[in-house]
Amino acid sequence: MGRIRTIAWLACVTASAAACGDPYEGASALQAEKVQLQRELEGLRESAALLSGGGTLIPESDVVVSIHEALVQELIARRLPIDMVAAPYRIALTAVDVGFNGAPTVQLRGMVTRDGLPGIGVSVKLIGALSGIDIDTTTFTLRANIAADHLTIESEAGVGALFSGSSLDDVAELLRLELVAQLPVVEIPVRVQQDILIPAITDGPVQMAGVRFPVKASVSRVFAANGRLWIGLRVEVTQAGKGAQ
Amino acid sequence: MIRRKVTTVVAVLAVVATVATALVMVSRARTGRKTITALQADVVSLTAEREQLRAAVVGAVSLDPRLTGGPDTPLRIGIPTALAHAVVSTLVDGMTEHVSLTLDNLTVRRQGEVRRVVSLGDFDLTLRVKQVNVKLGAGVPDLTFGGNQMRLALPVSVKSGRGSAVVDFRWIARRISGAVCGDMSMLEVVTGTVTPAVYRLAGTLQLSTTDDAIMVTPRLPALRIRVRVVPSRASWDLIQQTLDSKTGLCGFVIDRVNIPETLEGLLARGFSVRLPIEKLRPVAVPIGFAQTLMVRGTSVEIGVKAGGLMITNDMIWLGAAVTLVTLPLPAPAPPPAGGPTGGGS
Repeated sequence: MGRIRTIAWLACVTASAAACGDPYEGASALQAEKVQLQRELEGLRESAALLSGGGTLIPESDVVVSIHEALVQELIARRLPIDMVAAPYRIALTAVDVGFNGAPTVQLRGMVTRDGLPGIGVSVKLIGALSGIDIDTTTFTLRANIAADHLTIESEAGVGALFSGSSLDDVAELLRLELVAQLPVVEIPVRVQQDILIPAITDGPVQMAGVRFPVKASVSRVFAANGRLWIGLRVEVTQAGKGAQ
Repeated sequence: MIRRKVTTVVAVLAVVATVATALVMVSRARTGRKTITALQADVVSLTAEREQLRAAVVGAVSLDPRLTGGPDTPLRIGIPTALAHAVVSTLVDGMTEHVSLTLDNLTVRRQGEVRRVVSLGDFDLTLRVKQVNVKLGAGVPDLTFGGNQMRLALPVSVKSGRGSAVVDFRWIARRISGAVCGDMSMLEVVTGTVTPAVYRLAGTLQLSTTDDAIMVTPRLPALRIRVRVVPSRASWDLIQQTLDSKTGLCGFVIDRVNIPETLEGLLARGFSVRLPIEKLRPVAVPIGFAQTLMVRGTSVEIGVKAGGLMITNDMIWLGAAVTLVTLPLPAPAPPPAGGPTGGGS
């Protein structure tokens, strides 16, 4: 009788222990690393294809803008903390690392908390990259979005309480999707003028009407290498229209 | 008895549960191992590819003078000299189209005396230009780069033009007995065209920097051009017809003055015009640095200081140091409706 009871208890304990073990431990970190590698390779493959086709990294007639990763990191850091709500969770991103080798990668780190559970927080790391770099049509400065590729929730004390009933991957994906729309636009302090104005000359026998030359500019290419972000700008100064002032 | 049965059933169930859990565990562990192994393999493979491609790209960057020739500043802009050349050509073309040269109310005059043993009288030949409109043109600019400036050589041309003038000839006769040619005058409106000519304008376009842009300042010497007008065939015919009507002593006077040749002489020198090149203002290159950034809809000033202007055969480089002031903190996220506020650790 006593033996059966002991067996039963041991079986229960074994079952419980087995259920608690995480055979995927480490997978999240590997997945994050893979996502970042894929993002870097996306840019590197594009550059390599251009080079192998005899081309240049930025078209020869294009303006080259080059920005050091430390500057972009500082530009993003000055906007921290980034606070967001994805009910019932709250995220505060407080640190950033930017790396320009292969792809313009951005890692934002911070904490996630849950409403109603004060004092419990878990570290999160968002892996992303600068994307959609173009010229703002209002301010005429270069700007970039931060793409959120992957969010990792660190396994640490408090995880169970914070995300009870949900898998970490599900919560991480939920938070990532919420973050996608809420990450700030990064402005790069390079401005493209809309036009070149030549003032009129109105006295004397030789006179000239004021002339306006419209400037058309667009981002032709972006790549990251050597710790810098390289942006190619196709700039065209077009002939002034008749009667332009 | 019943108690014993219940205990046995529980024990059996526990064993079954243990076995089931063990099976699930083994299965999960196997899947987990597979997943991790697959991920590890992917990471190894992707890392190898990244290292290989990164080396190729880094090598290409360091070998490209269009990417590495600039100042070592956190922010820099490189403008290809080929683009600068194209922009200068467009500006020169466009400006020339909008330039007008108009000469009006100009007068050239020749006075003299006609003698035949004694003075027969005095003539006064005046050409009053009412208006001449001249079309100027410019050729393809030749630019060379170096030493923080662009050297410019530009053909400037007087392309064409038209104008009208009044030929005013007056003859004041001396009173000599027997002389038959009294005072006479001729007033004819003539038209003409401008003779094309090409001049060479050479100088520099000086590059300098403000805090946020490259400025191009023309440093070009004054250029004087001459506008030469040739009367039309019809105008010559008209003058000749008037002159031919004079006979006798008046014909002699007209022959001596030789109005057509005198007019040609007066017009041959042309009218000197100074092109007001010094009035061209410095122009900002349309790519520069922004001194403000928009942060959540608010314009925030940043400290961008341009410097390190460099000009090579391939590129015009402008570098900038950036000092960031503390940007305003974003507004805190609103708490969810009705929910308590969670604290961060």
